[in-house]
Amino acid sequence: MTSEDRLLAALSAPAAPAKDMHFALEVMRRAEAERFRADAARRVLRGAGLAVLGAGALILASSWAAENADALLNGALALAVGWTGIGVLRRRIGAPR
Amino acid sequence: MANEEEARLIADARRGDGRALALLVAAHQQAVRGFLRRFAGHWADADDLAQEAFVTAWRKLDRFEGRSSFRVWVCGIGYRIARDARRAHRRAQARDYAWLEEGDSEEGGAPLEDRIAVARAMSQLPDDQRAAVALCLGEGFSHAEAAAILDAPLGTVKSHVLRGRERLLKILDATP
Repeated sequence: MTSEDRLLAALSAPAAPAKDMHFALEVMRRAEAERFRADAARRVLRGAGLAVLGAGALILASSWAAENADALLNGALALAVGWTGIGVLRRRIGAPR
Repeated sequence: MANEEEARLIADARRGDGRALALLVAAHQQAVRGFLRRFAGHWADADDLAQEAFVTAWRKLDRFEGRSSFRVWVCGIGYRIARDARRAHRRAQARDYAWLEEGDSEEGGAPLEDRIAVARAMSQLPDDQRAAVALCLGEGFSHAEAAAILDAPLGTVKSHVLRGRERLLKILDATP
């Protein structure tokens, strides 16, 4: 047997089994773990984004309220007066609440 | 596996069908693991790299355009992962030839001693030559497929296979 025959025979021998369910299952397990990690990271990012948006909106609202305290007070007062007026009117005409 | 069946499994796996992915892995694991075992040398690391290659392929399945076969594409991913891991660690890895003893010693008509001698000789080849020899002479890929996997010109791959084969023969000649 020549060296060339020996080389070709050795190289053509399979280096991995033709069937190995354990390997396929391990790939599936890793793929699932990766999918779970990606989903969790997405959820955390979405939560953080919403929190940042909420905090931003709160800061904007409070700074607007601080700058327009009078208008806000007037508005709240007008709302309270209107609400009370509607309540009184309903009671007078006997409408159900 | 027929081309149509493979295309259907890839489409199903893209939609998140785990069974389709498992069938693709089962159909191509031998070639991908065989190549990485011959290339990386350390069989446990090579199987880990092969698993990583399949998971990466599953994650990037939307980018698979079908210009090459799925097997070629996954082998290319595995090669890049193995090459990067090798560069990152830059450590002398103990080479383990336990995988050679997995099968029957007469499997493929080659005695175990010859297979170990060839595996040892392979470890002495430069990375690109070893990868080309492992693909073309070990796993039966064509030169064009190996060029696609290694992202190298066809002529370069042919030359790597030729030179690698000559070097292996020289080493084997010196081995009784």
